[in-house]
Amino acid sequence: MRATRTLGNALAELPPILDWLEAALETAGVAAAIVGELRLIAEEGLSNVIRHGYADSSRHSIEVVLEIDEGEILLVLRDDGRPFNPLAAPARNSHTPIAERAGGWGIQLLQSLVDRADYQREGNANVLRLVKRLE
Amino acid sequence: MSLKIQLQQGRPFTQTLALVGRLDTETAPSLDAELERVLTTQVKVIVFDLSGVNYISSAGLATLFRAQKAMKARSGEALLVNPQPQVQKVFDIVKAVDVRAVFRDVAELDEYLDEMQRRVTRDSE
Repeated sequence: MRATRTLGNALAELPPILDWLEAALETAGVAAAIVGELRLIAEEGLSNVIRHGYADSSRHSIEVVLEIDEGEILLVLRDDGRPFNPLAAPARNSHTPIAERAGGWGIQLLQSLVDRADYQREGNANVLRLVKRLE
Repeated sequence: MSLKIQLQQGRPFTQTLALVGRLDTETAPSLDAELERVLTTQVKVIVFDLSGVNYISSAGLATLFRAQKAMKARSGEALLVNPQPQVQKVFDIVKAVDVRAVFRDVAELDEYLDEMQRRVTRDSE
């Protein structure tokens, strides 16, 4: 199954997308523990884009693609924010201010919870492909 | 809103916040606000009962971290009890929360608080 949703760059638009993702995974019969981790991966990836991705204050849309294949789940996040590869982001140390470090924690969680990940800058878009295996 | 916060009184100068639901980008601000209110009191120990929390993200971690920092600044403590496996997993990945402040269950926490109380009583004698 493959499904696509878009959201604007506002934190208020995040919960409905995460709820949609969770429902789609549950419907597909994905184990609860993996559903929770995918929700977390999506929350961290998307909230990071919404909080830090844009230099202007205009409205942008972020695309979320969910693909459930045999054996694995692919989550693609596509945004037109400034170029940023979260997979290459360094871990923040304890001297970093808290607000910034919280962002660092999110990226650390995302990196730890996916089985495979790939980042590409395609034209003016950041494209993050995240794969979670279904054990 | 998918987080319920229940305030429970127990020992003197101790405030327990029993949380039920998700602690994430959406709900962390409500816990921040509750915390701010609790911090205006003379509380010495804040206990977060996490038995009802089935999900935590970096936004929730940041709130717990801030609580620990604020309590430390006033020579108090913010303790966490009953983390569910998926929440413990997040604590293990991101070393944001002080592990010495995490208790597996209420019995373990009570033992710690009893010892703390004994120490305080001894020091004041």
